[in-house]
Amino acid sequence: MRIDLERALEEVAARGRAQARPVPTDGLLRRVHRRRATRTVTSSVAGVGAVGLLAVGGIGLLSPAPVAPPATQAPVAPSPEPSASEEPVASTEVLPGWEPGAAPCGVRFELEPVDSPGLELLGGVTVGALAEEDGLYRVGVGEELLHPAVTAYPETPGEPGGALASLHTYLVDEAGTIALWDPPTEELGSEATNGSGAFNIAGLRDAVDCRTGQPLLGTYRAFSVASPGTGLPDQDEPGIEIVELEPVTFGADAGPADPHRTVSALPRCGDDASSALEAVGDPDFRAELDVGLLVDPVSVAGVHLPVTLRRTDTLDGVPLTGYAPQSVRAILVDDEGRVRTTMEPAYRSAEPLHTAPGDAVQTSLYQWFTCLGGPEAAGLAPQPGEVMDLYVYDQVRATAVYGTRVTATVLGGPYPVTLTDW
Amino acid sequence: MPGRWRQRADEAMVTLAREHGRSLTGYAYLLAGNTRDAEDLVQDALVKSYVRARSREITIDEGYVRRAILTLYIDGYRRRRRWESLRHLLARPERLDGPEGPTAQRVDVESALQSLPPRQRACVVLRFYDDLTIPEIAGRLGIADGSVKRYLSLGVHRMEALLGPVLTTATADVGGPVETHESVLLHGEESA
Repeated sequence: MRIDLERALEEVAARGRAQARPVPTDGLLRRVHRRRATRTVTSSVAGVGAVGLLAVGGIGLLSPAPVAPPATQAPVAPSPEPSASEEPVASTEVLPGWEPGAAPCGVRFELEPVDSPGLELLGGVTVGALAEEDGLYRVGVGEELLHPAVTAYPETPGEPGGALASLHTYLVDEAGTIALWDPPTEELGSEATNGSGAFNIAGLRDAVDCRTGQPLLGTYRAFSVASPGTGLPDQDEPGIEIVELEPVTFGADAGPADPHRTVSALPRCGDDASSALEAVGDPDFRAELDVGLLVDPVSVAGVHLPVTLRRTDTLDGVPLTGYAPQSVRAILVDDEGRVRTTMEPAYRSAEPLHTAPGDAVQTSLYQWFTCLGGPEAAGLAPQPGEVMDLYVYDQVRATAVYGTRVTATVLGGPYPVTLTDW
Repeated sequence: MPGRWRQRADEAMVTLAREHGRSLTGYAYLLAGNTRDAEDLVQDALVKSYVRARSREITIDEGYVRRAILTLYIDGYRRRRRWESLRHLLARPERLDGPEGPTAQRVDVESALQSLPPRQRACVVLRFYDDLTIPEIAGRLGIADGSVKRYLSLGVHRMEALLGPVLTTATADVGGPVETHESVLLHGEESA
């Protein structure tokens, strides 16, 4: 049989048309306006003054110095990934009618990361918009909204977590000043119903500078703070956990970075494990649990263990740059060769990654042993007493030194484990 | 008045996006190979096309945006997305099943098209989908006629290696035949 190429190409294009979602025109207009604004933006002394008047001292988060104005230059938090165009410049002009936010908006962020013994904060900030067709939030289709997708988990899956009364995420500009945060009155916190103790803030926020009402532009450092108290956080508060997340970039055609997309390429509960493992072949990072073979037994709830990722010589041995993963994930494989776990979206940290072959990256393995999905996952949830193989299995977004964005593979194991009661 | 031009450009962009968005995405799909990247390409091309409307009145139609899509694809988009197109070699493909399963032939053609390097793929799309002549393709891509012929020849040969004989209705009088193909049948004998 011969293939009519023109007709076949038309059918391929028709498939693309059929799958196409409506173009998000609101988001496009915002992008166009921002790109135009990069050439016309000017500083506004009046706007800066208006923001400065709102400085309030007396809380641990605050600096004794006056409130810093919005940066007049593009934020320059280090971004190891190349941008498709020049970094845009944020406007410092307060929009007419905009009421600058109260402290800590506009206040210097001076907290340092600290690890709580009872909590593990995982997540990141995604940028997107509501889709026209269904009103659902989608990452990467616009920049009107952002989602602080940060969840507070118990330090170890299955064990009681530390006390938690508030969870906030802050975006900080080049000057170290808070440009956006989530006030307690706007939090929509929720706790997982599966007994894990996981807690997150489910709210979407307008991607605007709380000081000026202007769209966020450029790159911002991002911090999340989980605190046992309800007041504004204090560095010395017992039980507090502070993490720096992967920086967030607006404008400059930063492109989408949707952690859920990576998940869709990873094995699911009920999948054939052999094909998933064979598909990886030689991984770009070889994972080694720092506890060696002494990982057994583990709780049926999940694991949290230190792990070392060692760069192999794949991808022609080119160094990879980017941000290190906050943690990597794992799968459990049973005697029948089935994947018995579900992988959740993974996020990157603010820790720069630069690895040549042989280099090592220290991180952790954090994985709940849940099994969610369709009919193929029914009845496959791991049970106490089962013996399975644990593989460290993940993907890491990075950039090759010549600029190509890559999704590096991570593989380690198998580590035989016996599951114990939660 | 720049402000008025910008407003008119905004309105034109919204209209074009609504009326031709799907068509543009279908075109970008041929180049990008998946819906997600195709949608990104379309959005990037629209932004690139209309952001310049700040200081002068311009007329932008679907063809203009198509050319912007092609330029973005050739100049950098494809390079940035290279890994994603190769990812299936190392990991399971994303599950983006449509509402109905594609025919095996269409999937084969898609796979074959995606196997081509960017310039070869662009030439194949411009020639057999856009129905452009060899000189028109050369002008569009900023390369020599001979280069277009070479890319087309290599691309079609590559697709035939994967698909078997390929039939086209492209005629020889639209700027010269594809090298080594002088009739409507690129390889093999007349179809039954």
